[in-house]
Amino acid sequence: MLRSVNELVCRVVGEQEGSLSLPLERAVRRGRLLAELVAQFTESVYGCDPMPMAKLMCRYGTDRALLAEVRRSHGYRRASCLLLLAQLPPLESVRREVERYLEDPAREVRFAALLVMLAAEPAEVFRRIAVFGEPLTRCEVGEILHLLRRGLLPIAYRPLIESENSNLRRLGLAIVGHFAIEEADDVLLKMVGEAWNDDLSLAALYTLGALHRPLQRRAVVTYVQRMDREVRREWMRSMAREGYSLQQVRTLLDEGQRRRYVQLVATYKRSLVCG
Amino acid sequence: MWLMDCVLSCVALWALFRWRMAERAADRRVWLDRMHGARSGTLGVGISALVTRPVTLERCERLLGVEYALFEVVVVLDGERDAVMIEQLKARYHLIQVEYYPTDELPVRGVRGLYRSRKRRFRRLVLVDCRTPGVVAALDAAAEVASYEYLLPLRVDEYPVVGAVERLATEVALQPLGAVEQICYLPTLYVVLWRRAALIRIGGFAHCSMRVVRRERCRWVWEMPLRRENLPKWHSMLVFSLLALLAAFVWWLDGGSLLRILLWWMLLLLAFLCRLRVRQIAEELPVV
Repeated sequence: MLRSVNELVCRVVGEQEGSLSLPLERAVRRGRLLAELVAQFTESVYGCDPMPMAKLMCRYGTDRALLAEVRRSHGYRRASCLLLLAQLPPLESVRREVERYLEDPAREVRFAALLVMLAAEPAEVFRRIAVFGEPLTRCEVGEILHLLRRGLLPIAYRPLIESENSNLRRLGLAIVGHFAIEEADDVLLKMVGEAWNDDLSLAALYTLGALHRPLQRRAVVTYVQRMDREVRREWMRSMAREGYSLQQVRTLLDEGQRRRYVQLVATYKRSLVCG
Repeated sequence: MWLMDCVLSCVALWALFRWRMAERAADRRVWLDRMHGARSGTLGVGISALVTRPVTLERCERLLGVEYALFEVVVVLDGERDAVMIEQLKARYHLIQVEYYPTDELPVRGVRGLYRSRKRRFRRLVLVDCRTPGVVAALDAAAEVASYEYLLPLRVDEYPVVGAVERLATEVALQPLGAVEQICYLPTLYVVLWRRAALIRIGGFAHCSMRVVRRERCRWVWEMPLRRENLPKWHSMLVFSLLALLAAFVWWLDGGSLLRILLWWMLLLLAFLCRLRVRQIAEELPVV
């Protein structure tokens, strides 16, 4: 028995099941089955022409039904409907209606409305992200990155990462990390060296580690020495997991930390010494 | 009589409240499931599941079936009592012994060996051979060798619900880095997810409770992401039947009106229906 919309789409598209989606019973009960199917189909197939899907939605009034549900509901249900609208082919009627939810009291609704606007107006992406009132979380940056992977947003990371706006910098960092852009090494180092935004500096340090860039540089040494003990311990585990040897991080650690780092790295290795 | 009125009214009100919270939690679940970060691996939140005895091959296989990229399973067994299972795991997952060094982070004693797989496809499984006097010591041993920052201790026969690990990672990623130290299931005050640094700070699972972490670093959830299999379905019916009998007994003792006993049974029926609906929402998704 089918349990989710995803199972249904996978049977139609012929792919293996993977991600989750709305349970089938809920989708049918709320009259959203067509919208869910179109959204899942758009997610599963890259580069498909959105026009036939948009016509299908208009023909069956899916966009009007969804907008009506957005108006009726609030909180997570409203945010969930808006996220579904962001996955569907963009329509002008939807864009006009959703704009007012950018001022909703609930943060999840404001962000979901932002995603709908980003999908509808790719040219305004950076302006809208810059004026979003709060710092974006990792989860929210991941959602914007998803729009980018669907081909709706440009991948130009340098203007983002060099911007003065912290949200744009967060997005630039995420793009660099996700696409493993090693050419951004100099900018990442500069971000680690900046003292005014610790959150971004830490994220830049982890991104350098994920890209396996050399770490024994002055900005990184200064930053690691200023780190809180718990944060540094966690960072050491992360670097051991990434495969950095002791030689590559020696100058960043003191004597006791070096011993501990050697032990951490050794737990990923088998001892070949017999006897 | 009035005491019974109060008790049954509270039971009904609590059941209504739980139902409302369950509906809200289901909406939140749908909203979290729509987030793509966990499925595309961009969140950067790693979770280590800690598993203690009893362990079977099937249990390991199911836990390793969780699709979230930054997830691992740390199994703790005692080489003296579970020698056969250890050999089976080593053969099945091509485990080899690696170096182990004790640390002063957690009070762990008696680790005989640490095993990881030489095969890339099984690298998410870690086996610890440890002399463990109890579940708490086993969890501490598993936490010490866990690679990721967040720990998900699993009780006997407990499995994560489909998508639960991704949702937990998303919950963490919805807050700034390091801001979440605990995720608790509010109705039973059970801590589902621990941040490793917080566990080390309090000295291990022996001292863990919901109150040890500052409130602003704790996230509350109304939907339990872990579930035991084969939950008996007659529990609720039995409890409500006993309450109905108790109400009838009290009514008979005090000689109240017919309207009163009917009112009490209506309250109990309402509470029972709410409980059924909460259970139905919880069972919408199967376990892994």
